[in-house]
Amino acid sequence: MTTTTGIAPPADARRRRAGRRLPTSFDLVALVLAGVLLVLVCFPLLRVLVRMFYKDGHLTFEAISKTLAVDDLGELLFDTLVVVLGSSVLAVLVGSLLAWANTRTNARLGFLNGVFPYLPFLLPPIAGAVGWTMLLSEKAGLLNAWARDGLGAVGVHLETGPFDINSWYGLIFVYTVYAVPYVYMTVSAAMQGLDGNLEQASRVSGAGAFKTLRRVTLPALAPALGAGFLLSTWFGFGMFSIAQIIGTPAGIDMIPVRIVKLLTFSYPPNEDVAIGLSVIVVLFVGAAYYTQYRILKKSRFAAISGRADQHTVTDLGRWRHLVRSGVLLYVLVTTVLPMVGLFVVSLNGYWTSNIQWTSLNFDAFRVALFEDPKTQEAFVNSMTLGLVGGVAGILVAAIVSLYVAARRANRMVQGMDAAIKLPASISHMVIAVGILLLLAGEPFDLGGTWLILLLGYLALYLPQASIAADAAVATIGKELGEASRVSGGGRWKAFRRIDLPLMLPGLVGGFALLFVRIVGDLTASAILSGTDNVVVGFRILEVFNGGSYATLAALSSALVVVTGVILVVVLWLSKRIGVAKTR
Amino acid sequence: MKKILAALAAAAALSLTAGGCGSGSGSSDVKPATNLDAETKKLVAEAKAAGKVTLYGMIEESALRKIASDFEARYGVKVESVRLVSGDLSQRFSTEASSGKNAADLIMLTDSPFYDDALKKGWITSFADVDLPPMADELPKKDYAHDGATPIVSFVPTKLVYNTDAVDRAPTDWKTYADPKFKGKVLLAEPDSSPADVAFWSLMRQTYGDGFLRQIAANSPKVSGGAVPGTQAVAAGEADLGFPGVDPVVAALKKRGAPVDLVAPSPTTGPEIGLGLATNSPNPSGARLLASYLMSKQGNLDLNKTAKQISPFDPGAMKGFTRVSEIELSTPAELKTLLGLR
Repeated sequence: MTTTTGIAPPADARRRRAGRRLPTSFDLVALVLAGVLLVLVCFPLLRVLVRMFYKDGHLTFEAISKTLAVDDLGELLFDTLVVVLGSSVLAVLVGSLLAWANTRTNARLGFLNGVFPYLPFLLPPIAGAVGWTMLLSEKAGLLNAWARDGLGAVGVHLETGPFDINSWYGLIFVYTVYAVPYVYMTVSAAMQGLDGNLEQASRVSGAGAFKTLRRVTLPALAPALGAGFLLSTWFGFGMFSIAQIIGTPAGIDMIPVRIVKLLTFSYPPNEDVAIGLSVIVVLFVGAAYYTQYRILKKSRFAAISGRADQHTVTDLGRWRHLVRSGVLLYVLVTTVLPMVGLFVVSLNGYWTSNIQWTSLNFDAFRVALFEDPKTQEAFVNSMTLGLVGGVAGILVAAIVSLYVAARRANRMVQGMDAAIKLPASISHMVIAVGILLLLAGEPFDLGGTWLILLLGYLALYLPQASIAADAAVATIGKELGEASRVSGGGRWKAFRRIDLPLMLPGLVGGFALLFVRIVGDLTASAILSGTDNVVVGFRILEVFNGGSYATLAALSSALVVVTGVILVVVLWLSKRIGVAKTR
Repeated sequence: MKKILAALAAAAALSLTAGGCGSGSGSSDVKPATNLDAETKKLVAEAKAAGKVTLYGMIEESALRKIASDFEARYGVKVESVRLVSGDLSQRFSTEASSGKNAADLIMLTDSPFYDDALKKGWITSFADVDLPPMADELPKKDYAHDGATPIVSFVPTKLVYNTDAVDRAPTDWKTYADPKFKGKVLLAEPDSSPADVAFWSLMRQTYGDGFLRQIAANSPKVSGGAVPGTQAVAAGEADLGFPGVDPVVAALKKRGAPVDLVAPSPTTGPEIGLGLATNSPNPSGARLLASYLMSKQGNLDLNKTAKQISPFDPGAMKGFTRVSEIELSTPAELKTLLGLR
């Protein structure tokens, strides 16, 4: 059986009808899934667009005129773009270097390779922002206090600092930390799949290392780099808690914070401007998406060929230990440090630079985990949702990506693909409200259920997973699948036996990302979670608003441990399954 | 595929065991109500038959839990609450209501034009249009808003938070913010972070004049990431004085020994908390019973004692509290400029 995308002869209709083959069940499933996805993620966006021009029964341009009249619009856009683009560029640099060191050199750390990319996301961004605030606040930041003590010993006396998290560099730093996993995920998967023969051929033909990098390696990695950059900007445009907790004190105005303010400050919400700002973000992301699409279309990148191959591992010689230390230091500073900060504060009972080392205790953990009877229920719900949503989400994304990749020339398929991805960048609150409006009432009646949360999470994070799936699809060639089909294997069999195992590194990355983002989500949870479907994100919000940072820290520490263990188990299993499949 | 499923099941089981054992919700020393009048008895029976009552509330979660356990001990009707800040809660409630089915039975939100809109759109029922048991009549009629449609059951005074290590004597006056001693050591939430803050600074302007706000500006106040992070930062010693202090946060911090405290100098103002009966809700009788309980003198005093707020039944505490309706509101932009925050 073959797929339907043969070039249809433009002859008479009868011959065309006769020549058209039925679509395979794989294609049908892909189309149905894509359709459901489309409704899910596009409804909130469409609501925004319709509402922008149509209000109370008539056509209006109020949203546009009011948005353009915002007196600090220029500043708002400038601040947002500097932070989002700045952190995304940094993330591409750092993420690629880390991916290179960990996949292509002998400085790689086997165990770290599997878990590294997801580590920062184990801490939900709100906890990360609080963690960094506790470490690097000008005066009461733990690291600052320790640094001042150290400097005092050598005769330098400071009242505040030396660092201040509430600054441009502080904000861009924290955004970068959270954006790097996206780049690492896509680029390391591409590097693992890269055909080393091409590089070798280039080197053998006399090109130097740099020329090989520029002419062979970088073009081959272009789709992954583009995907990583795109994901980073999406993350940045949608992020609320980091911008609020770290950016606001620094006087840096970010669009997502303004949107939430407009929607919640007073009643009725100022929807006009919130919608205008959302559309501006969509335009920016649309431009970024178009760039990524151009990169993929040029398709000068390499794919895994049907021939068995191993990519080369660069021997770094004496640089090996330095590179390895650099990677470890990065993980230590960006991931372990804020977790340690949170843990210490939770043991101390409250945030202070003056930790009482002798009277540390676990009381905050008792309050966070056991005082509210719903917390444990929330943990179970969140983990289950994360696992189910992660697996289902990435499989759906993979099927749709394969379908789309086989039809690059078809404009309608292209449009559908873009439509699935664009909405992820608008304020998460806008998406969550859209999902509630779509599914809570008749005829679906999903309000307060487990399913509405699952669908809400998928609407928020599936576009990110589908970018990861695209990058994974882009690295596998068509010949293997074709070979399988020619030799009589059905499309599903090819998917199971060929596509899936080859895409596995990329898909596992996508799964892990979905899992941690679902488990740590706050926005959809605030709108969609209730007494019957309570989740951890909702508990975190409650504790943030009414408890001490120690309770928040204890809750986040517990979350880090539970999600960390689950992730390691899943990654380990996937590796075993992957190895078994490809043998 | 089977293997993957088995792996997932194993991982899910693992997540189940992560919680360990837990204790129940806060216990109550309240005795079951006796000698109920016929009307209340009937309502209790109906409420019980409909199952639990769902309360959407903006007050602190442990206070909500205490109210729930007291109410359950008294009437044998279970209450489950969803706690969010007013903005998120009204966003959520209005979305659910406009989808035609309310998940909440009773809402407890900061009073705002939201209540007018909700009444107009039929999301909530006016208290003037329902029969309530006699205990609800204990709340004086003057404490209703929106022409008798919304009872106001609590007033939340805006407070000043300070670090007790850095400030030796508890401030008694809002003018402490302008004391040159605290230059560079004052942490303010942006005045436009909530309508209550706008009302507060407008009251300050009205009481002490623009000069007071300019004096605060001369103290180069820093901006916090909101009321909660600001309160935490003052406790940590990042600043000596903060605005506004969040009561439940300070209570949680003090319990753990953090050097932080609150004062509520006079005059002050703050959010006024109203009740709303959701239409098309799962347990309308339960909503009416719970609302009546919160409007009765005993229930109301208990509510406000737990939540550390002012009860309309406490005329003494109300003296220093200016109702928002009596304040001439400035725009957030004016206030920001006066306070030197832009």
